[in-house]
Amino acid sequence: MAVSAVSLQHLKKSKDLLCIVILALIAILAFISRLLSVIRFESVIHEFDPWFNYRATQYLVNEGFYKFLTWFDQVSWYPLGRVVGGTLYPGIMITSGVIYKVLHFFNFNIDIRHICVFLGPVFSGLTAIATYLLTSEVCTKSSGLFAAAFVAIAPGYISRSVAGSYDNEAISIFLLMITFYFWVKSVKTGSSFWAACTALFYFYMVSAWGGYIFIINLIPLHVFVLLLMGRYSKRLYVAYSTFYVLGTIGSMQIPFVGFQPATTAEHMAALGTFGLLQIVAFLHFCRTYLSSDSFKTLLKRFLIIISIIGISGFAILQKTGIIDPWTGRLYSLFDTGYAKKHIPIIASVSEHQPTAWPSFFFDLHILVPLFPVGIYFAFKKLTDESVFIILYGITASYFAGVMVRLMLTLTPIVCVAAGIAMSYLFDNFLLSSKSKTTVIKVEESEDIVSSAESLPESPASPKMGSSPTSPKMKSKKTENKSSILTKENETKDNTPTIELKLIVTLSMLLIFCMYVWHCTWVTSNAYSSPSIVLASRNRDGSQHIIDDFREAYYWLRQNSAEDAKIMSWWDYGYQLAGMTNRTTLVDNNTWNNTHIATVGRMLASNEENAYVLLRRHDVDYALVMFGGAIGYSGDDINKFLWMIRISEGVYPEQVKEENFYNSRGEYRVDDSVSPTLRDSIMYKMSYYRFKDLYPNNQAYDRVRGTPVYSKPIQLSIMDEVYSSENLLVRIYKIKKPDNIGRSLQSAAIFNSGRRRKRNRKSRKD
Amino acid sequence: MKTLFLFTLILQLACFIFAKTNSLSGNRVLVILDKEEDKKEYSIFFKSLKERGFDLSYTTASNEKLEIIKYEESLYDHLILFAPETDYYENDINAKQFIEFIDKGGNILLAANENTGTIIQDLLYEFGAKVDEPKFTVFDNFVHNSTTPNVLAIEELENKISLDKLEAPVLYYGTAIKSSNKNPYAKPLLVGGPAAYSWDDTVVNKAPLVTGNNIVLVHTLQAINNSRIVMTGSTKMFTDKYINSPVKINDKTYKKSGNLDFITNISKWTFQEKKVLKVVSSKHHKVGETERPEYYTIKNNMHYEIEIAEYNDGVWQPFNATDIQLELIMLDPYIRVTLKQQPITNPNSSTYAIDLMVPDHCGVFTFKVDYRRYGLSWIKESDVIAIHPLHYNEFPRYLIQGLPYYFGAFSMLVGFIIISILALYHEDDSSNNKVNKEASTKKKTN
Repeated sequence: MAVSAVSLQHLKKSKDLLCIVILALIAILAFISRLLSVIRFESVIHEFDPWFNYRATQYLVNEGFYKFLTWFDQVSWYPLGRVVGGTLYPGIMITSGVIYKVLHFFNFNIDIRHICVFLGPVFSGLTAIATYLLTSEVCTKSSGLFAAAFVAIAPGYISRSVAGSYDNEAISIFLLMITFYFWVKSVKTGSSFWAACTALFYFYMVSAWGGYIFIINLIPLHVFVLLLMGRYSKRLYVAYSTFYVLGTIGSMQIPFVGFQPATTAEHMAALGTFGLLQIVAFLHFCRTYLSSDSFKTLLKRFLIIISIIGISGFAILQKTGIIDPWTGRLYSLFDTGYAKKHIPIIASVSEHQPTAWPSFFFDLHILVPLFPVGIYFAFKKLTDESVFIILYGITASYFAGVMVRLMLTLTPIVCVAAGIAMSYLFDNFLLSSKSKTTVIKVEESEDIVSSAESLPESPASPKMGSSPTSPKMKSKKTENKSSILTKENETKDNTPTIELKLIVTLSMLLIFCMYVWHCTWVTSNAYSSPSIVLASRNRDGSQHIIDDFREAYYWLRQNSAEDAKIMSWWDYGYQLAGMTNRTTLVDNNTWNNTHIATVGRMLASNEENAYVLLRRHDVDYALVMFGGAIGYSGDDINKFLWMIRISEGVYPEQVKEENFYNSRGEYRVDDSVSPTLRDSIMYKMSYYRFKDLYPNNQAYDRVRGTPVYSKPIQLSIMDEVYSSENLLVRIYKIKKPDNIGRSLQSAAIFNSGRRRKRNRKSRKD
Repeated sequence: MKTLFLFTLILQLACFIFAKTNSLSGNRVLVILDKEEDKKEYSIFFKSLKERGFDLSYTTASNEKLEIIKYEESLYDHLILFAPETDYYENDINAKQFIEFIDKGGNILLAANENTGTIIQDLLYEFGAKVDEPKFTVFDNFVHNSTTPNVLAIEELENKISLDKLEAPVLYYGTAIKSSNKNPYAKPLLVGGPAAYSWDDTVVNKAPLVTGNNIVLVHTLQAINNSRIVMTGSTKMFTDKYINSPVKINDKTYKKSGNLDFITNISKWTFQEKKVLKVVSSKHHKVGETERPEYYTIKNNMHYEIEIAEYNDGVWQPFNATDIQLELIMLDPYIRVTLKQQPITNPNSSTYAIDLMVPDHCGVFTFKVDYRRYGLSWIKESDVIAIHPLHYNEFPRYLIQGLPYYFGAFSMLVGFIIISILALYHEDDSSNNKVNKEASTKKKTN
C-alpha cells in the first residue's frame, strides 16, 4: 500500500500537469478557431449590436466611467434621445475598458477596436476553462477536459463569439459557466466563501447580459427541487442564502436592473425560494425540539398557510401593479405564438423565432445524441450537483427550442453532458483494465478525501422528510465507501474484449474527427462573416467581396452635415451611429415601440404623408437596403411587411397590412403590385430608377424573382444622392419645402417640364 | 446658415455703401419690356427708382443678350417684368429661370395684362395665381374712374403691407388674377370691389373666371428665403398716364391718382427697402450664466433672448411687437411662451427675452422662434439642444421623507456591529457551552 501510494502520488502529479497542458491547449484552440473572421476579412466589428457596444466602449474609454454611467446619447433616437447609462448592460464595455487601461498602463498602446474585436475569442478560452471546472466538479477531471474541448469549438457558441462579434453574449457565457461552477462548488462544500464568489460572478453576469434571468431562476429551481427531493442541508442553506442576498444587492447596483429584483415577476421565484428555504430551515430547527407527530401536524398547517399567503400575496401584488407583469419577451418563451399576435417587434427579429430542428444538429452536431447519455449518467449518480446539471439541461433545451438565440445557453450544458458521457465511455472502453482500475482508484480516493473533508462540516446529505432513509439514499450513503469495490466487480464481471474496445474507441475517434471537421467547416462558412461585408463566389470560384454597406456609410460620413439626421429602419441604427457618426431616428435598442412604428409609418406612407412626418422629425437623409440587384435577400422590401405590422400596431388607422397585398392577396412587386405598396416611399426608394439599369423594360428583381413594375417611379420629396456599387444601399436626401410655397410634387412636375404642356392644353380647351 | 446670413449681410452692407440705395439686397435692377418703346411709358416710375439709387438696366424680352443667371450667379438683384405679351423669351428664359432667380434671393415685380403670354402665365401658375383669358379685363360699373372709362379706381387695401391706407384711389386697367389659395405664402394686396367682374367686350358668351372680391388685382408672395414677389394684372397702372391722371369717382375728385404712391410703396416692399426684419442675435443660457451650455438638465432655469431689428427706408429700427413666441419643441411643442419686450437700449434694435424652466423631460429639443407675419420678413431662429436627465450625482439627497430609511439603515449597521462585538467577546460559562454544543451536534447527526 505504501509503495503504491508513492507511485500514485507521482501519477497524480504528472496527471495534473498533463491536465493543465491539455486545458491550456484547449483554451488556445478556442481562441484560434475564432480568428477565421479576421483572417478572411479584417479586424472589424461585426453585425449590428456590436457596433453599439463598440461605440459605447469608445465613449467609456474617452469620457471616463462616471460620464459613461450617466450618458445621455442625443444622437440616437432623435429627438427623444436615449438614456444609455440606464438602459444598457455595461459589463462588456467595462471589461474592455479595464483591459484597455491595464494594457495602456503597461505601455501597450493597443487600439480599443482590437480589444473589442478579440474580446470574444479570449473569453471563449476562459469559457473552456470554466466548463472544465464545472464538469470536473460534477463528474471527473477527464470529463471536464472533454467538456472543455467540446465547448471550445461548438458552433452554437462560436456563432456568438468569433473575433469581431463584440456582443454581450461573448463574455456572458463564460460568466454563466463560472457562476454555475461556483454555485455547484458552494452547494457541495456549504462554504459561504464560494457562495459569495457565486454572487460576485452573478453580479458580473447581471452587468453583462440580460440572460442573467436564467441564473436567477435556475439556481432557485435547483434549490427548490433539492428541497422537494428531501435533500435539504445546511450546505444548501448557507450557499443559497449567501448567494441570494449578496447577488441581489449586487444586481441592484446595475442602473438598468435597479429595483427589478424586488418588483418584477421574473425575480419572484428567487425571492420565494429564499423565503421557502428560511421556512424549511426553521422547521428543521423545530424538529430538533418536537416529537415527530406534533411536528407533522405543524408542518402540514404551516405549509398550507404559507402557500396560501404566498400565492395570494403574489397575485394581489401583481394585480395592483406593485410587481410588474411579465414582459412580452418572457411570455413568448412559453407561448411561441404570443409575440406574433401581440408584439410584432419581438417576432420580427429572426433571433426570436423558434428553432428549426436542423439548426440543433448544425450547432451541436454529435453532441445532440451524447447529451441525453450525459443526462442519463447524471441521473445514475444523483448528487446535488448532477441534479443541477439535469435541471440546467432540461430548461435550456426547452428554451433553445423556443428561441434560436437561446441555443447559446444550451450549448455549454450540452458540452458538459457530452463530456460526462464521453468520459464514462472511454473509462470503460479505452484503457486497459489494469490502468483503468488505478485511475478509478485515484479518483475514488480523491472523492473519499474530499468527502471526508467535508464530512465534519456537513454530515450526511439526506435529512429532509420524516422517514428519510429510503433504500436509494442508503445506498448513496454507502456509495463512497463501497464504490471501489463495486466498480472493480463491475469491470471484472463484464470486461469488454479488446476487439470491442477497439471498435468503440475507433468509432468514437472517428466521430470526434467528424465533429472537429464539422465545427471548423461551420465556423469558416457560416459564422465568420461579419455581415457588414458580404462575400460571394465568382464563377471561377474566386472570392468576391461586396462592401456596399461600408461604402455607403462612409459616403454619408464624408458628405453629410455633422448634425444630419438619418432615417432608416431600426436594423441599421447601430451601424449608422457607429460608422457614420450621424444622428439616427431608431436603432437596435428597440426601447420605444411607438417611435419605431412612426418610422415604419413613414416608410409605408405615400409621399405626401411621409413628407409631413419626415419634416416633423427633421430628417435629412433616408436610407434603404435594396437587394434586388444582387440578390441579397435580407433587404428592406422583404422586411417591409414587418415594418407595416409594427406600425399597424400603433397606427391602425393610417397603416393597414391588407392594403399592401394585391387583389389576389399576394405581396408582389411586379406589375400586379398593390397601389398602396406602389405609393409607399419604401417601394419608391427601393425601385427608383432601378429599371434604368436594364435595357427594354427587362428589369428583374433577383430577390423576389420577378420583373419589376414597368412604369417609371416618380419621387418628388427626395433626391437620390447615393447608391452603392451593387445598389445595396440607397441614400436619399429629403428636399426642403419649396421656396415659393408649392407642394413638392407640383414643383417636381414643373421641373420635369410636364406641367407646361398640360397647362397649355387646358388653356386651349 | 449663420455664415451665409453674415455673408449676405456683408454683401448687402457693401452694396449699401457703394450704391447708396435703401434696398438690402442690392441695387441691380433688370427691367424686361415687351418693346423698347415701352420704356418711355413708365418714365416716372423708373425715374423714381433711379432716384432711390437703383441701377436700372433695360432690355426687351426678345433681346438676344437677355440673361438673368450666368454661371449659377444672379446678374441682378431685382427684376421688373413688364413684358407679359411676349410668348417666348430669348435664350430660352422661362418660368424655371425666374424661379431659380427667386431661389437665389432675387425679387420680382411682375405685371401682366390682358394679353398675357405663356411665359408669364406659367410663372403665375407656379405662384399659385392665374390670369383670366386673353382680352378679358376687369370692370366695375360702380367704382370706376369717370375721366378714363373702364378703369377701376380702388380705394382700399385688402392687406396692409407697406402702407396703411391710400391717399388717393389707385387706377387699374387690366386682367383679373385668380388666386388658387393653395399657396400659403401668397396673399392678395388689392382686390376688386363687390361688383367687379372680368369681361370680354367682344365676345359675350363666356362666363368670367372670377368675380367680385375674388378678383385679385395685386397679389404678393413672400418666399421662404424672404424673396418678395408682387404680381399685378395691369401694366398700365405703372404708366405715366395713369400716374398723372386725375380721378373722379362718383362725387369725389382727386387731382392725381394714388398710383405713384402705391407703386412706390409696393416697389419698396418688393425690393427689400421696407419691412425687413432680421435677427441681430439670439442666445440662451442657464440663469446666472452667460454662455450657451452644452446641454440643459431637466428643470434647469434658462434665459432666452432674441434681438430683432426692423429695416425701413435705410434705417434699422427697434422692432415692436407683442406676439413673438418661443417654442421648445420635441416632436410637439412642450412649451410655447410669448417673449417679453425689454426696455430699448439700442436705437437700432429691440430685445425680447424670457426666463423659463426647461421641460421636465429629457430629449433633443428645438428652441424655435418662428415669427411669420404678413408683410414682414420671416424670422426663423432655431437651435437644437439636448435636455439631459439628472446625472448620478445630481439627484436630491437627504430628503426628509427618507428619514425612516436612513434610520433603518444606520440602526441596522449599529446593531450589526454590536452583535458582532458581543458574539466575538462574549464568554459564556465554558462548561455549559460545551455541553450545549455537543448536544446540538448530536441532534443534528441524528
